Amino acid sequence: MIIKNITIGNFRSYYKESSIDIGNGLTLIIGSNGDGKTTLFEAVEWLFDTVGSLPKADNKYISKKRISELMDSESDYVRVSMTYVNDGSERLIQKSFKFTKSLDGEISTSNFSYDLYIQQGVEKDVKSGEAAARYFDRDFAPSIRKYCLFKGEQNLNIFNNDEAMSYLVETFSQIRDFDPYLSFMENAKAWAEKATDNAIRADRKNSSEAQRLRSLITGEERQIGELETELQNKRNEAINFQTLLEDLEKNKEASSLLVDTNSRLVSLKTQKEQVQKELNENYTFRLLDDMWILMGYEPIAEEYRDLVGRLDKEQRKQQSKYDQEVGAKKVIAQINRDLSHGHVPLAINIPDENTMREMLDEEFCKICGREAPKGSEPYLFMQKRLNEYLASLESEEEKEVEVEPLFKFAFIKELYDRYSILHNNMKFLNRLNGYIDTAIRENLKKHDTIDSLSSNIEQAEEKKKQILAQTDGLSEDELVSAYNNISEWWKARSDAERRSDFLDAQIKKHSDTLEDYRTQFSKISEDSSAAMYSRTSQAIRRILDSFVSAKKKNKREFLDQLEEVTNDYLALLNKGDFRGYAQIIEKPNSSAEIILIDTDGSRIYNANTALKTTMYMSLLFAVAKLTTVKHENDYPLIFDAPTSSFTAAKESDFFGVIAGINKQTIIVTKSFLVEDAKGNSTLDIKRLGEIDAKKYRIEKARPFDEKDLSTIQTYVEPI
Amino acid sequence: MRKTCPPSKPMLNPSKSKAMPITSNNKYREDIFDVWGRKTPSYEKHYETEVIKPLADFGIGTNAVSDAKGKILGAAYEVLIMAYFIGLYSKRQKPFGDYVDIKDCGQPIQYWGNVDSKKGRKAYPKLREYMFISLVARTPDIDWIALDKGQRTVNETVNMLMLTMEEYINYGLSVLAEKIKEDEGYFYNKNSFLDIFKDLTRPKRDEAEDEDTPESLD
Repeated sequence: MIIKNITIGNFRSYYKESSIDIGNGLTLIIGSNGDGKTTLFEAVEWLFDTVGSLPKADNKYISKKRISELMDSESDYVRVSMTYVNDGSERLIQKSFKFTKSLDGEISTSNFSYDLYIQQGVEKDVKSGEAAARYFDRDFAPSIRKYCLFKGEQNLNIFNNDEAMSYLVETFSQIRDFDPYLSFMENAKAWAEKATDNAIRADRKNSSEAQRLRSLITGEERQIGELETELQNKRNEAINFQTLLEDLEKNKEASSLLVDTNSRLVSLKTQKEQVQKELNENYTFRLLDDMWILMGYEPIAEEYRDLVGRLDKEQRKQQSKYDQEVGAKKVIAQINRDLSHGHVPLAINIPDENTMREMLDEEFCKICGREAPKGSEPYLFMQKRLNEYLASLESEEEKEVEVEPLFKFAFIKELYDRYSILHNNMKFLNRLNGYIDTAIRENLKKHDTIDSLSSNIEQAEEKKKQILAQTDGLSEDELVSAYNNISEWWKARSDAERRSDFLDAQIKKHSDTLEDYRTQFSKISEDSSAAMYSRTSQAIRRILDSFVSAKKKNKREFLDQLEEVTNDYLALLNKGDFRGYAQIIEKPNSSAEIILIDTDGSRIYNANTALKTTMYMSLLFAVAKLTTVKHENDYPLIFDAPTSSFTAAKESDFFGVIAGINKQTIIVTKSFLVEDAKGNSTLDIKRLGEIDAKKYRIEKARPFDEKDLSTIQTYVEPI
Repeated sequence: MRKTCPPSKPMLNPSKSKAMPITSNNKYREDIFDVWGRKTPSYEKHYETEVIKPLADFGIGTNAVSDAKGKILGAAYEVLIMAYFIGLYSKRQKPFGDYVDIKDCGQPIQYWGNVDSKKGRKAYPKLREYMFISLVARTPDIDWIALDKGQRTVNETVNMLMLTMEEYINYGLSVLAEKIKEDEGYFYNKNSFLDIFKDLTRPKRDEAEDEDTPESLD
C-alpha cells in the first residue's frame, strides 16, 4: 500500500481544508511545538480506527475556529481522507461527520460516515460504514497497522508490550500454518490411543499387562507435566531475580570498578567455557573411535609376526623339497628313456652345446681324438647328439608347465601381506599407551584449570555483589543489609537456575522412561490385532512431536531473521557510530526483549536514547520488511517526533539514511527548525536541502491567542 | 544348541575381488578377511538383557544418538567388541553353555565401526583388521599350510576363527555381566571401560618396568 495524499478538513487546528501529497520514499512534515504535528498524526490515527461501533463523531475533533465562524443553523464537515494505491487501483478512504451550530450556539453532530471509494476503470465503487471498514482492513490489516503508527520516541519499543512478540510471531511468521496440523494431529493421537487401548483390552491374553503399562504411562505423563510446570516457574523465578540484579546493575553501570569486574567475569567465563569445550573425556568412545582399545595389542602383534614367520618358512621349506622331488623325478624319467638303447649314456648335456658346435665346425671329435669330416659317421653322430640335446631343452620346458603346484592357494601370502600393514602401524601401537596417558593427564590438568577459573569467578562475583551494595550515604549496617539482600537475590537466582537444570534432566529421564513404556506397550500387542493401531498411534505421536519441534524451530528462525534484518538497518542508521549489534532474546513467558550488545559480547545497559531509538526503529523497519515479504505488499511507517533526543548532525544523517532505504515513511518532526534573532522558528534550508524527501512546513497562522483556540489555524505549505 | 555360521555367499562381482592367480582354481578367490567380514557373531541370548540392553542403544537403530537414552555405547556390536578385547587380553575363552539359547548380533562384522553419523563419534573400520589379526594369532589349530594346499576349505577355517571370536566375546560378556550385577551404575562412570582395559594390559607393562629397574645397592 502506498499513500498518495492525506487531506484534513476542520479537524481541530486544521481549519477548512489542508492537503498533503505524500512521496513514495520519505515525507517530512516539519513544525514547531503547537503547530499541529501531533494533531496531524491523530487525524490519521482517527481515520485508521475501524474498531468499535460506528458512528464516532466527537466534538473535540471540530475546528474551534470554524465553529466560531459559523452562523446560526449553519453546518460544515469534519473530514479526514486519504488516497492510496493498493493492488494497482486507487482508493480513497474518508471519515467525516457534520456539525451544526444551533440558534443558542450549541454544536450538534450528525451524518457520521466512513466511506471507501474504489476506482475501477472509469467507475467508482463506494463502500460505506462497516463494509468500508472491512475493505480498508483488508487493504491495510489491523495487525500491520499496529506496527505502522508511532507517537513519540518513548513508544517505539514494540517489545514493551509483553504480548507483542507472540503477536508478531503469530502474525508474521509461518507458525500459524502449523496450528491446523497440530490440532488435527492432537485429535488423531487421542483417537489412535483410544483405538489401541480398546483393541488391547479386547485381547484378553495381554489386557492385564496392557493395563499395567497404560497406568505407568499415565503416571509418567503426569509427572512430566508437573515437572514442566515447576520448571516454568523456576525459570520465571530465575528471570525475576536476574531482572532485579540487572536493574541494580544499571544504576551502578557508571562505576568503573563494576565495569572492570564485569569484563573480568566475562573473560573468566569465556576461558572456562573454552577449557570445558576442549575436555574430551568420552573415554569409552575413544576406546573404539581412537582405537585406544589396542593398548594391549603389542604382544598379539608379536604372536602374529611369529606365526606368519613360521608359516612362511615352513611353506618355503615344503616348496623347496617339492621342487627337488619334481626335479629328481624328471631326471629318472630321462635316464629310463635313454637306457632303452642298451648303453649307460652320458648325461644329455655332456659335452655341452658350445663344445658340440665347436667340434662340428672343426670337423674333429675331441672326445675320441679323430677326424670327423662333414657327412662322415662321427660327424653325423655329433650332429644327432646336438639335436637331441636341443630337443630335450624344449621338452623339459613343456613338462614343467604340466607339474601340479604344491600350494594351490595363497592365504599365507594374505596373512604375510597383512603383517606388512601391521608392521607399518607398529609405531602407533608402540606409542598408544603413552598417548593415552598424556590425553588423560591433559584432561586432569584442564580440570585443575576449570577449578581455578571457577574459584576466580566466585571471587569476582563476590566482588560484584559488594560493589552493587555500595550506595552513597549508606551506613555500615545499611551497607551490610544491602549486601545481604543482593547475596540473597544472587543465591535465589542461582538456586532457581540449578533447580531448572535438575528439572530439565529429570524431564529428560522421565521422557526416556515414558518412551520405553510406550515401546513395551506397542510390543505387547505385536501378535494381536491391536498391532496396527499401536503402530499407527506411535507414528502419529512422532508426527505430532515433529510438528511441535518444527513450530519451535520456525519461531526461532523467524526471530533470527528479524534480528538479522534489524541489524542491517541498525548498521545503516549508525554508520560509524556504533559497532555492536542488537539481539532479540526470547523470555520464557513468550515475551521478548531487544538489547544492545557491545563488540566484546557484553550487554550495554545504559545506551543513549538516540542509539536505542535507532535500534527500535531498525526493528520496526525489519518488521515492515519481513511483512512486505510475507504479504507481498508494502505499507508505510508514520512517526511523530521520533528523533527528539538526536543531535542536529545525527538527525541529518538519520533522515538521509531513511530517505535512501526505499520505504514509504512519513515523519512529523520539529527538526530542521532554528530560532532566529527574534526568537522565531525558521527552517534550516541548507541542512534540509541535503535530504531527498517530500517536505512540508506546518505552521500556526499569526496572530493567535494561545488561550483562545478559535484563533488557532494550521497552515500546510510545501517546502 | 549351537547355531552354525551361514556359508559364505558367492562373490557378486568377481572381477573386482582381489585375485591371487596361482592356479585357475583360485583365480577369483577372495581374501579370507573378506569372508570373515561377512560373518555375524552370536552370543548367549541372556546377555541381551543382562549386558547389551543396559549398555547399548539396542534395537533403536544405529543412527540414534546414544546420549539421548543415557546409554554408554552405540550399536550392540560395540558391546561385543569390548567383550572380545576383554577375552583377548585375559586370554580367556568361554565356550557357549549347553542348552543355552544363542542369538546373532544382527550386524555382519564388515559393517562394524563404519557408522560415524552419531554426534561426536568417529568411524573406526581399521579396528576390524586388528581383530582379524588377533584371531589368526590366537587360533593355533588352523592348518594354514593345508589350506593353501587345498586340503582344508575356507569355510572350515573361517568357522574356526569365528569360534575363537565368539568364545572370547562370551568370556568378555560374562565379565561385563558380573560388573553390572554387582553395581547397576558401574558403567556410567566415564573411566569404567578404560580402567578395565588398563587393568588387563598395564600389569604386564609394570612388571616389565620393574624388571628394568636396577636393584638397590643398599
